[in-house]
Amino acid sequence: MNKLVSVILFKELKDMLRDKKTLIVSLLIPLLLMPLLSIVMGKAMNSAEVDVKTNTNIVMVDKGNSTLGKALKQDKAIKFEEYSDGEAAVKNGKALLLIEIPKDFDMNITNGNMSDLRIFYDNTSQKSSIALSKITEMIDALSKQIVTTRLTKQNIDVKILTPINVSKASFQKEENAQGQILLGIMIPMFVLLYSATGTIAAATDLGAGEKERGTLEPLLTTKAGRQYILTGKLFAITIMGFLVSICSMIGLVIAMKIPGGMFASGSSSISLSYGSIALIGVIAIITTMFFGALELGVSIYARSFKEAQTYLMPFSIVPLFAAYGTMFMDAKNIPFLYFNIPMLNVSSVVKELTSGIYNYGHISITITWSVVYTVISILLARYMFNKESVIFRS
Amino acid sequence: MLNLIKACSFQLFYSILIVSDINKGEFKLLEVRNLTKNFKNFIAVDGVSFEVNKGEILGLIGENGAGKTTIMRMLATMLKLTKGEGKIAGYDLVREPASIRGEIGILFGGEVGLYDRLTARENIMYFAELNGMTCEQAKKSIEELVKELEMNEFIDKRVGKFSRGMKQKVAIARSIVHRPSVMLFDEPSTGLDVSATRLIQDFIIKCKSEDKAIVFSSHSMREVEKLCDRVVIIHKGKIVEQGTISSLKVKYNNEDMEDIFVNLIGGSHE
Repeated sequence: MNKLVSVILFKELKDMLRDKKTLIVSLLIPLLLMPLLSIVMGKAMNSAEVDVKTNTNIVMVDKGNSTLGKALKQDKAIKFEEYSDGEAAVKNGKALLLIEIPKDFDMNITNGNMSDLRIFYDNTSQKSSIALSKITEMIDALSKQIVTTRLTKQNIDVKILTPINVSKASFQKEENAQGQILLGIMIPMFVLLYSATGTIAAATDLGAGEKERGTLEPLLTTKAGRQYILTGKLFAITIMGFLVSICSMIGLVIAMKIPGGMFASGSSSISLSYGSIALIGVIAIITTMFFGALELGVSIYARSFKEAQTYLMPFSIVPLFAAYGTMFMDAKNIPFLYFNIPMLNVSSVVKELTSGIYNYGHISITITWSVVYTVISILLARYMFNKESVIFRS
Repeated sequence: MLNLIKACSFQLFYSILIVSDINKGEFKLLEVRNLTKNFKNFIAVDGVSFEVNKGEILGLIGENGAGKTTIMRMLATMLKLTKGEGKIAGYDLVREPASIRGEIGILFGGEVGLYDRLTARENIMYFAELNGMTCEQAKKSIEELVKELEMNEFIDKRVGKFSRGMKQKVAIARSIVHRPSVMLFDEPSTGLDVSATRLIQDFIIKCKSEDKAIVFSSHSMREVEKLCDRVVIIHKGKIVEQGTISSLKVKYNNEDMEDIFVNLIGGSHE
C-alpha cells in the first residue's frame, strides 16, 4: 500500500476508534442488539405461552353439561370465568376465549350426527390465540376418540381414515432447516443494512466532518494528492463498515444460539460452510465499499455534518427494500434478473449461499456487477472530491 | 514655484522607493503573473500579478469577497488557475502542484482545524508525514517545535480540551513542521483574542527572520502596517494598488493606511 494512503488510513482508524460514540453506536450496539432483542422477545413470547398453559381463563357456556365440557373441566390449567357477556369479556381481555356448547351436543354425537360448537376469541391477542390452539387440540383429540368409537362399533378399522401414510424426510434436520430459513431471511438483510448504515457515521465524519472542523483545507495543502486522501478515507470507511457488519453477524449468531430466545429453542443449528462465510464476507466487503464511496461522495458535497446526515438518511432505508425483495422468496427460484440489479443481487446471492446453494454463475455475475457498481461509486466520489465547487461549497 | 519644488521632490522620493522595491526581485520565492480565477460567469480574481521575496512579508488587503482567499487557495494549489502562471520556490504553479505543496505552509483564521481525538503530537506528525517527511525527520522537527513554541506540557494530550491559544500553537507547528520556504497566512487572527493574535504576529515575524517568503491576508490595517513590508490592495478581484507602506503613504500624501485603502476602493460597501 502507498505510504500516504496508509498514513491516512491509520490516522482515520485511530481517530474513529478513539471516539466512544462511534464504538458504542457502530460496534457495541450491532453486537448486542440481536442477542438482547432475542432474550427480551423470547422471554415475552415464552412467558405468554407458559402463562396460558398454566392459567387458561375461558368463559364456557355449556347448556347441556356435555362430555366436552367435562373433559375441559378436567384440565386443571383451565380456569372458568363467569361473565354475563362472554364476548365482551374476551374483547376486554378478561377471558381468553368463549366456548359455547349447545344443549344437544352429546345427543348429536351419540346419534352419529355432527354437532356444532362455537368459539369466540381475540385474533389480535397472542394469548387468546395460544388458548385457542390449546382448546382446539383438546377438541381434536375428543373428535378422534369419537370417530374411533363410532368406527369400532361398526367393525371398521380406524386405518380407513388414513389410506396414505406419508413418511417425510429431508437432508436437513427439522430444527436445522428452520435455522437455515431464518438465516436466509436475516443474513441478506443484515449484509445490506449494515454495509449501508455501518459506513454512514464514518463517511459523515471523514467528508462533511473535515469541512466543519476546518481540517479539509490544511489536508488539501499537503503533498498528499487528492487521490491518496480519497483512497485512505475510503479504505477506513470500508474497514469500519465491515467491522460493523461482522459485529452484527456475530450478534445474530449469538441471538440464534440463545436458549429460550426469539429464535425458538436455541438449538437451531447454523450450518454455514466456511466457503459460504468467505464468499459472504467478500460480497459484504465489496458492498460496504460501494456504499462507503457513495456516502463519502454525498458527505463531501454537504456543507456541514448535519446536512450530510440529512442527505445520507435514504441510505438506511433503500437497502431494506432490496432485502425485502428476496426475503420471502425461495432461494432456489430467484429470477436471473435479480442478480444484475444493484443491492438486489447481493441480497439474492447471499440468500442462496445461506441456503447452501453454490451457483457459481450467480456468484460471478453478482461479484462482477458489484465491482462495476463499486468502481462507478468510487469514480463519483473522486469526481466530487476533485470538484472545486463541491469542496469549497458554501 | 514652491509647489513645483514640492511636487518634484515628492516624485523623486517616490521613484527611489519604487526602484528599491524592484531591486529586491533577485530573491523572489513567489511570483505570479496574470492570476485569474472564474467561477462559472463570476470573475473572482482578475489578472493579479505580484511577487514576494525571501524574508519579505506581502500583505494582501481587501474587503470581504475581494478575492484574497481565492488567491490564497490558488497559491496553495487548492484551486486551479483559470488563467495565468506562477512559480513558488522554483516550482511551476500549474505543472508541479505537489512539489509546491511541500514548499508551503498555510495557516487559516477562524477554526484552527485540528483533530480533537488525536494528541497535539499526532496532529503535527500526521501533517508532517503527509508532507513527505520520514518518521525520524518528523520526530526531530516536532521536538524542535515543542521547545520553540513551549508545548511541552500538552504535546501528548488530546487536542479536544485545549484552550484556543494551545490549539493555535498546534496549528502553527503543523503549518511549519515540514520547514516550508513560503508561508501563507489567510486572515490568521480572525476571531482571536489579544494574546493569541500576538502569538500569531510573533510567529510571522519569526518566519520573516528565517528568510521565508510570506503572504499575509488581512483586513486589519493596523496588523498590516505592523507586519508587512509591501501590500497589494485587492478590490473586486483586481489589484488597485501595490507598493511598500511608506511609498503608498507618500504617494497618497496620507499617513492613515485605512484612509488610503477606503479611498482606493471607492469607499463602497457592496
